Amino acid sequence: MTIDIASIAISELVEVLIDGILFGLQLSLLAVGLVLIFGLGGILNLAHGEFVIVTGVISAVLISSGWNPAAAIVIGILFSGILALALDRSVLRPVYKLEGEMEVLVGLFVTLGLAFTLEGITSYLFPGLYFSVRVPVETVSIFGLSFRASALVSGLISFLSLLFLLLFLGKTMTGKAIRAALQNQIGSRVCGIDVDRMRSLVFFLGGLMAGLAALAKGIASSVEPGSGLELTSYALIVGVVGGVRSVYGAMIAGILLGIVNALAGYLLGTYLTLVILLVIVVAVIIYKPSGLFAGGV
Amino acid sequence: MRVIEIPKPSIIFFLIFAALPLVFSNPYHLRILTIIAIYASFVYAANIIIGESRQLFLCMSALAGISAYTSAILANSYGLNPWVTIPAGILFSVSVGAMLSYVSIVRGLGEIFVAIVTLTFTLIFENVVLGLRWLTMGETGLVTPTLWWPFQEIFGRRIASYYTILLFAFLVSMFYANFVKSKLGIALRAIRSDRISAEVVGIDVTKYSVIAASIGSAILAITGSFYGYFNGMISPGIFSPSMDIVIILMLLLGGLRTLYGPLIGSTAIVLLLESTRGFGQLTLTFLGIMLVILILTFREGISSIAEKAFARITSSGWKS
Amino acid sequence: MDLLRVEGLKAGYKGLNVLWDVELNVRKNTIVSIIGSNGSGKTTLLNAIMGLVDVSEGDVVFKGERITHLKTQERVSLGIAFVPSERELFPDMSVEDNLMLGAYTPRARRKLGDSLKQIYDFFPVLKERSNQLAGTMSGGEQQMLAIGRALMSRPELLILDELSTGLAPAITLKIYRKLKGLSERMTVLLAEQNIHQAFMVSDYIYVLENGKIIASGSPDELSESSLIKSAYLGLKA
Repeated sequence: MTIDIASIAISELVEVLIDGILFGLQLSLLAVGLVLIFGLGGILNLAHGEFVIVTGVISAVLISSGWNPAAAIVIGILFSGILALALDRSVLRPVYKLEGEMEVLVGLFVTLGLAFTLEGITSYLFPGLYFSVRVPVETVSIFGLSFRASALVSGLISFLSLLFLLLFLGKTMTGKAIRAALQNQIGSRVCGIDVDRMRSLVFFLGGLMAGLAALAKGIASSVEPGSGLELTSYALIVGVVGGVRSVYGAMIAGILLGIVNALAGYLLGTYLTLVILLVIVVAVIIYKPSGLFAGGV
Repeated sequence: MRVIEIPKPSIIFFLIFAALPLVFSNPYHLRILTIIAIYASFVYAANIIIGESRQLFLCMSALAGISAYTSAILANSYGLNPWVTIPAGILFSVSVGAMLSYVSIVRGLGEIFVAIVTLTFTLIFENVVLGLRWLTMGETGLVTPTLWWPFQEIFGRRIASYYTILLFAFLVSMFYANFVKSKLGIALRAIRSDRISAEVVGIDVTKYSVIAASIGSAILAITGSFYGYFNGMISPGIFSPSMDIVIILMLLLGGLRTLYGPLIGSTAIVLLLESTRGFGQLTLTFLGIMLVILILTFREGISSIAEKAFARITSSGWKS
Repeated sequence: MDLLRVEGLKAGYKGLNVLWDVELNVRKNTIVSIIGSNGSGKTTLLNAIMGLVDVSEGDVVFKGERITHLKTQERVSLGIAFVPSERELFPDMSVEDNLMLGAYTPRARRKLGDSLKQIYDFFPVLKERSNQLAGTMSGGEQQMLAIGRALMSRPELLILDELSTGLAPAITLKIYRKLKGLSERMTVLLAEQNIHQAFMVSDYIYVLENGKIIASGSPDELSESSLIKSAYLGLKA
């Protein structure tokens, strides 16, 4: 019996790559909401990660009190969407009245305050709680390569969510109106589009995407209170690399960073990986502040 | 030569703080007083970097931490006197702060991108500290060597450290009072109100902004090192992004670009944080709600509101 | 019947008043022009009619109804379409998507298919380029797209700001001819710096200077006026 070393290395590399893509899809899903909200709301929403946590917390609490898991998760995701909508309609209202850099700055601090508020409440009320969805099968092998079933399912859910978002934005009139509002607010208004309403809708969508990201993450690993700001910083990394206003950019950047993450993790170990990702962000901002894949919505 | 100005209310404030240990002499109270003095210096640094020169640095914790770690690690590894290694820490922090400022200005990054870059830098700092376990002890934290505080033989370490740190905060406060009236302070004001006109009249925006960032970094660095030696231990948890938030909160509460704001803000928030300690994680919620309310309702801060009220009382003949 | 009336309008930006007691009437199925030099307040007047700037005094009345406090999008739903001087297209979307968004209001959406066909007949170049991104087209094509997008909402009143800026005279002429043909079915209000073109197409003209209407009348009446002759036509002659 002979062992082909090269083929082992290659198949391992392929596994790492696919692992990276699956994780990258999760990152993309996490970032699209942030990017959508920044694009139309002009708010760099530092509470975005908390939307993920909120879905996780609500779902976990409902499941543990005997709800059907699917129903619990749907409620959890909807709740994040509604929470985002509520924030848009309440505390963020005064922020929109400001202009330019001031709006962005005040928005940044308001959402940071909201992030702390939510992080404090969820950690205080539900210490030790975590949201995790088990997939019945451990590993799946495809073409002789083996994958964790949970990573596959999580990647699939991320992919479907992103596809739903793309179809919605690309094919429906409402989706087109959102893209129109992202590109030109005066142009949208003279077309009869209510930009405020589109912004609320974008917050709701952003919240839903964060909720779906919670589901994807809950399947791949787990979601627990206290990690909201960390999730926000991941979303921010992806958003910045993709171009903070570009949904497509965020999707590509997420997958790319997922691959970088997996390769770096495979070759260098986890601790250096995050540092590498962060250094990439700094480099991108310094050399191309508009993001690597900016343009298009 | 210009006369150095020493504002009286500031002196009164520090005299009160110098007298407080006579009343609150137990170690717990003394610790709170010291922490107030530490944060007051931090907030003055923020007032210079964020307030005066409008660079939204979200890496103040990291700049303080870099210095604290550098000084402690050098002192530990080579058995040096910490007073010798503190300058090395300052040098390191100042170079990093100046570099971040230089790069952001030369690349023309807006405030929001400066915020993201510096926040990312803070995360990098945190992860490097966590990763270099053999050097920094990672999450556990590093025990700092013993620093000799002036007159500790007479008053004991606690009191000596408090007065050293309070004296430093006082000096920083005096520095700030004179800084805003200096050529540098005036140049920064011009840049703030209209950057392009400032450039046209020949004010070197890059130079002045980098100098402001360097001065702020130096104050952060010295205070960070003092914090480490006073605390006896440093960990990534101490110099985390939430420290930046606390500093900014103090700055906003007290009042951006004011002389007394940092003193009011740091006192109020340290006391608030201490009194809500029993609520555990809910403290975060209090901070968050405060931040939202502060930023939405009175961005001017307590100190300028107090000044206005004072002005209204003193000029009661006027109607506005 | 007056389709649009502007009554004693004062408007401007951030407390800085630009328009002073402007009175203006637009009769149904006519082409009305506002002429005036750069900075006379033409764009501000149109923006005020569209609800894009703050009105401090006076009213805008459309079909007998006060619309002064309606939002821009609500005015569009009532049947007013606007082609801003900056065109305000959606640069990263296709020509067809831009046109479809013109029919965003529920009223127009029902007839989207018909409208699209009409616009493509009207401006065949838009049909040829239907999949091209709006931002990549030439200035003239973008202007046609902007007009096409406005027409997609099936307006009763079409408002055009500075149609001729940045366009080759031949193209402007072509577009004006098409507009003339439209006025049998539609009312047009336009702001124009190019006096000759305004005189050629309009039924009625208002002269705006420093935010005030200083003269008005049919092109024939105005060309008799010594004021207009010296101030405008004289310069061009």
